[in-house]
Amino acid sequence: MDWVYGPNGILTKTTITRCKLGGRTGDWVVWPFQPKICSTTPYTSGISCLSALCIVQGGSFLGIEHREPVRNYKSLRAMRDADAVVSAPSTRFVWCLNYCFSSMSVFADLNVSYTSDVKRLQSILETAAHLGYSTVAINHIADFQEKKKEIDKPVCPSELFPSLPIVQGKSKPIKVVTRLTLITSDPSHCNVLRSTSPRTKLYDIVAVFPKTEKLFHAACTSLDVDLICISVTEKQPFYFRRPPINAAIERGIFFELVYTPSIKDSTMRRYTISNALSLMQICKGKNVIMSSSAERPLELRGPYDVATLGLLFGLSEADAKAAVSSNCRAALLHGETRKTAFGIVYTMKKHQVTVTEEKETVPVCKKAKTEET
Amino acid sequence: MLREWERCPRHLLVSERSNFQLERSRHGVAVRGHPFNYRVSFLIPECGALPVKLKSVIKNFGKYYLVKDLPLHEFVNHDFINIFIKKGAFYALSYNTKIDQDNTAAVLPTGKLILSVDKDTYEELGLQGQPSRYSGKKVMRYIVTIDLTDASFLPDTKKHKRVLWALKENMPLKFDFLLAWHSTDVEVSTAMSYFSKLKMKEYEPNITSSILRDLHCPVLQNSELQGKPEESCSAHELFDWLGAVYNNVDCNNHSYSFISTYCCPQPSAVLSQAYMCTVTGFILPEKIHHLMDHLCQYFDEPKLAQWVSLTVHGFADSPVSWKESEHGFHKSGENLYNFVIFNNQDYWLQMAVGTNDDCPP
Amino acid sequence: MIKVSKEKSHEVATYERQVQKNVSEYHYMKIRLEFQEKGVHLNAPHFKQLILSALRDLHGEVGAALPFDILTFDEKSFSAILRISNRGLVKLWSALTLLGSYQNHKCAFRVLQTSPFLLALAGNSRELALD
Repeated sequence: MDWVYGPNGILTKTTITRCKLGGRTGDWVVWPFQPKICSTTPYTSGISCLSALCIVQGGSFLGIEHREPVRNYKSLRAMRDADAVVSAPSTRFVWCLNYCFSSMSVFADLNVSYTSDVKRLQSILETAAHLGYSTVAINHIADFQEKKKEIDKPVCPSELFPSLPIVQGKSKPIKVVTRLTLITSDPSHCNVLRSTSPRTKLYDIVAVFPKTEKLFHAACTSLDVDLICISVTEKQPFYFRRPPINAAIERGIFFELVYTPSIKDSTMRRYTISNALSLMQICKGKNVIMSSSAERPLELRGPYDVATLGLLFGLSEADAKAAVSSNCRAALLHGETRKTAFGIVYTMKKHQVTVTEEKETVPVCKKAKTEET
Repeated sequence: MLREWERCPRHLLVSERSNFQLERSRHGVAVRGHPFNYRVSFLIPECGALPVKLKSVIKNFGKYYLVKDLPLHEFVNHDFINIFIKKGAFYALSYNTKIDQDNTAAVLPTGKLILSVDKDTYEELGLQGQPSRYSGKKVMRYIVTIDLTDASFLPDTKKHKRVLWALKENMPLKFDFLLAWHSTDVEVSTAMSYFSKLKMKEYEPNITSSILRDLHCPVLQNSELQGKPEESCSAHELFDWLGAVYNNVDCNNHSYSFISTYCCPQPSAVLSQAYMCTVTGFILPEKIHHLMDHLCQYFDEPKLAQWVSLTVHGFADSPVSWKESEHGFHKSGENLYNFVIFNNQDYWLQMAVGTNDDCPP
Repeated sequence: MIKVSKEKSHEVATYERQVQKNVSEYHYMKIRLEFQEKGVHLNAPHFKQLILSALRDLHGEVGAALPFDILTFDEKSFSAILRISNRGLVKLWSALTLLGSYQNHKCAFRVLQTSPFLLALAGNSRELALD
């Protein structure tokens, strides 16, 4: 298998059909290996969606395997072997992502409002589990408009809840993740995202709520976030334009619509539906997630109820179901890769890997191999 | 957009009319072909007490078992295959797994192990399968079928080694399983001790019964499946009405009623009483067939009733509905059938499925 | 919408098979109304009125004119079975979803099961609870 050694990791030559993590068809996606994340054995935990992976140890190439089609047990063997050596700092573990990131369709609500009232939070989680949600994100809001303040540390679910409620009709407990939502009205607010702030890194998902068109544009095209919130409490203050939205879809960022305000108030309901419809005109139902932003258990709705609501927002039936299931998982994985990669994702177009480059780099690898042995 | 709203989810209702005496009668196919049954109910008009025979039939529906954390590779073990698959009809269905979200597994009495798994699992599993018919353009779910009775599935063959490796080493999938076994020559409970190393619990089907009084009931003509205006009701109307009966819906309404305008299909007659019985659990087709035979024999002695009805509800999260045809869950996972047994051995059979199902046999 | 295929066998005239697609004009929903606090009283007419007002709030007068039936209602658990024409299902469902209060009591509708067959609501295997 041909491969090239890029400036910021290993660029492999396996084919990626499509890639959601900021790239185009045929791009390479590479990021540096983080031992911490990988020690949780990726093939059994969440990051099992790799379509191709390549294992490099001490600069030498161990193997690269395609994970599609299925008969690829060698790759798993290689991966398992690699797991044994991940603690070595020189080990690099590179995987390429496939657009089929999101293949599980368990239901998720990626927005449950954080409150210091642990009892209430617990009862929200219980209700969510009872309604059939398998994953819930507890949302911390950082509003720089109000006052300049530090971003809170996320709650630690295992500390808050000694035993998590069992999901209705299943034998597993609900999974709780953390999320940060930045409300931004000024470009300076985004600095937290640009610099690799240690605080934002603590969260599983980072969302941004841009108040101006400029910030919306920035969020879609350059900010390292997983979700972009769509306003539901006021008339959409700016037009949705095709280029930034397409850019966001290409980068694997999701647009979030919350439904609790429209349960509480009929004016908000109008704004929600109208803003949702104007978003759908541009994004065509792609990359949308729906969540609750519930503060109380009774504000939560069942996954199929929310999917039906999606039809009202202009989604097709399949897109509406994806908005409470597979899209949420994709957003979560997007968050996971952001954490892993420290926000550094290098993409390189396939045609840029020229013949000369390859010729140059192949000897390097061979050299590395010989050095290793 | 409005179209999408107003389109109703697709559903199918198959109605058949035949006679039990006919050689070509397909009642056995419908019953035996529907492996996983959650609830069996029957309704006997003009009956105040259950005949002793029927009582003993439903009392002997047999036990079923819940085994926790049963590794899938147990099913490809040849000890298991020789004991259970080859000497009887073995039924297993994963419990507390939702087919619209989770991986699901089942063993059919034909000796097929069926896995319905999401794409992640499928890609890691390393076994050949088919994309699910109902997972849309972007395939999210795959169906893997392993024939345990296949001649090439003997120990130490390449195929067997591969499957064992996939399920034991590569991806040790575990499920809680509902199990039941039907065998004519081996004691079931002793055979089940095979699983005693695992956490296993025994269950009896739950039986409830009640007597309904002054019930409005549609008039049926056994030869008129589609009904005749002013003379008899159609099979579909009866199907709907049975739903009303089992859900305790009041049929005494008028078109001007505020709460509900539902009323019994016309023409109708009033039954002074009717016996309704429901058995819930993990019920084998063999037992249902046995019950059906006894319900037919109910008419051996002259009875007031013209017909009796037998309704069977399938599991919403089963990977198959009839035989091996794929079953899915799309807002609901209905797969059910109903027999109307007439006093001259004629019968109506109705089979209903929802959106993610093929046409019943 | 309805396809009827009849196969009348030549030898035996008593066999008949009919396949009907989307035969049910109605959809049935099993729902339950949940309240935060105990002690709220609600009878069937009030329940129907509540759903009608939810329909009117979201879909206007056309929504409120949608004919639907409350086939059963249990005053203790506030659970009910509704019947709605297929075309009105999404309207009714979304109206139920967005309802948040009844007479200043916070509440939520939980949709337990839906089906085009009323008979299917009599057996929901997801309710099989074994310990």
